[in-house]
Amino acid sequence: MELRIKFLPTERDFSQRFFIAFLLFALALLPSCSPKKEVKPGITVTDAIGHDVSVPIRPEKIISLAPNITEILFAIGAGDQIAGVTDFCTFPDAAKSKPKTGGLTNPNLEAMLQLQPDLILVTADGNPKAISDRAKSAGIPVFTINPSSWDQILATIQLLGKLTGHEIQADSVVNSMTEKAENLTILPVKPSIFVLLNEKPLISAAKGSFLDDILEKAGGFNVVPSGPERYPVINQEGLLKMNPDVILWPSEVDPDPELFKGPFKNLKAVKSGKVFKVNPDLYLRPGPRVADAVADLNSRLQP
Amino acid sequence: MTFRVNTLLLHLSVWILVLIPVFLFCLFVQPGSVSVQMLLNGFDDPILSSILWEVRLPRVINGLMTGGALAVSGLVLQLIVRNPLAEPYILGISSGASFGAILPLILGASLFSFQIGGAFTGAVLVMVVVYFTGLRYGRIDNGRLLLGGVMMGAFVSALIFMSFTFLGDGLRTAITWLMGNLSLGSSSVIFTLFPIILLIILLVYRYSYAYNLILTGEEVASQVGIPVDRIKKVSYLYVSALTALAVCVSGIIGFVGLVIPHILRRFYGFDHRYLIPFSFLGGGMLLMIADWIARAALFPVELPVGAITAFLGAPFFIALMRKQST
Repeated sequence: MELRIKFLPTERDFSQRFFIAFLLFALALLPSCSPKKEVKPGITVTDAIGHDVSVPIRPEKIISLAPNITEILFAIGAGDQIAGVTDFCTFPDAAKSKPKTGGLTNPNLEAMLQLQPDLILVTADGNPKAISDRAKSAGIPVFTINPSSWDQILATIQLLGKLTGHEIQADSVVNSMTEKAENLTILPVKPSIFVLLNEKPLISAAKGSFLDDILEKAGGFNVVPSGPERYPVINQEGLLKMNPDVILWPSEVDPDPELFKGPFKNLKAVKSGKVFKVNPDLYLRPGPRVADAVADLNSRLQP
Repeated sequence: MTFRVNTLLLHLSVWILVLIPVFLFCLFVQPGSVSVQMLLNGFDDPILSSILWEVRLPRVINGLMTGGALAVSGLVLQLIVRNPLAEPYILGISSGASFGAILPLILGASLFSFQIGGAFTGAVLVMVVVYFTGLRYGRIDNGRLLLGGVMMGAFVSALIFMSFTFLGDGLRTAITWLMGNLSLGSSSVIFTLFPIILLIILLVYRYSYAYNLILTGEEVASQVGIPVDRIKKVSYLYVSALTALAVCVSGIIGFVGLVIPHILRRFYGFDHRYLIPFSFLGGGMLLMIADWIARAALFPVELPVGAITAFLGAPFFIALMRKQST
């Protein structure tokens, strides 16, 4: 039997020792990785999902995780305080040159943290909660908004004015929106409206969504009743039975012409040519420009 | 059950006697919408006749044809790969079809005809790749075919989930393809596909006796003169075509193809001369009923039909298995 005696450590032992030493070293470094928590003077505000968020006074590096938040911030004069926006923030033009943090449902946390934000603004519907939670655990205040009606949009604008230190400008934005909504022509009859958000399958906005409120404000009413979802898939037969006066198609591209050749050719809205293709950015972003959407819709609904 | 033509005809007539009231019920009854009476009196009203002839009738027929095609696919596939878990989607065909449907959305072509064309192309491409993966020395190797299908399915699913990043507004449409919806196909598409699907099922039926022999053992079947390899290849192509045609108009509707053949084997044994026609009718009926629930439960809001087929089918199948084993 061969006897093995080790005089010298073999190469493998060296690499093993090196590896263990490296691990210990890394372990020692770990505590220093956690974010330093500076105590900044701030105010505590309750957000739309009921969390008390401590926000620094006049935050200078805000990340906006939704196009409507970006629009609100620029409208109230807080554009300079924005550090990052999503890929979908295309309005105003100044937003396009801001650093990007990814999409709405898949924002890149690392890109966000690199911008060293002092406030992250998110929407309750559009952004994943997991991202908010992880940003919070990294020590960054995350404030959630969820405007789902005209009044809530106005209130959100004022709230963001308060958070960013632009209360006066926010008030004037709200005033000019209210003015636009008051200078509308009263319609003799309320037309019934179906908002077509997707063709196959049919997707619409139900009562309880902010779009529904926009239709009311403009002098019409939504044909889709409230249900378990705010943006439900609608049965084709349901659309035929509701037979709306007007179909609203917020999109940059025309609807599939086939859609109105089949069963939908007999709809009142199709027969009378009242299928309106409208600017999706005005209609689908609950921000300052919804007032323009209300005015636009009101003028289209004139008999 | 021994096979007699008279027994087949007797059972077929019973099945059809059950099918007709189910068909009429799904066609005429829709809680929350127009009543049966209004429909029957309203043939002149353009909206009512649109509802009946252009929305409901194609949809009910789509249910029958898609459910039937999936059930027959599952039945034949379980036989040719000799695996009770086989179903039309395990060979990756459905993923291929879904990716083919989603790709035009990414490229910005939202026209529905592009989606149907893309879905069919995607299904055929996956089918060809899996077929050549499954060939070994010129014969279909059951294990290789299954594994090749599962791998292609995984690969194409990966492409689908990566593509979600690039889908903005198309995301809801893409998800619809993955959950199944019988309202996607227009009446002209469905009335074109229905005879094609029936024709393929008739072609499959020609092999029903050969399938019975193959089931007893491929060697035995070869020895009595059945061209086993050729039948397996041709059957694979038929089954893939059936799945591709079903998926390309309605998206992925799971479970029908798996559960219907198993349920029917408990009643008709392993004789494919019974199993093929009754799988078609049984699968069709299950999907018609599931789709009726999907559209009736929360009218005018719709539920995904793929979830309902599994919700109905799984407990029924488990109950049936337990009852037979005691």
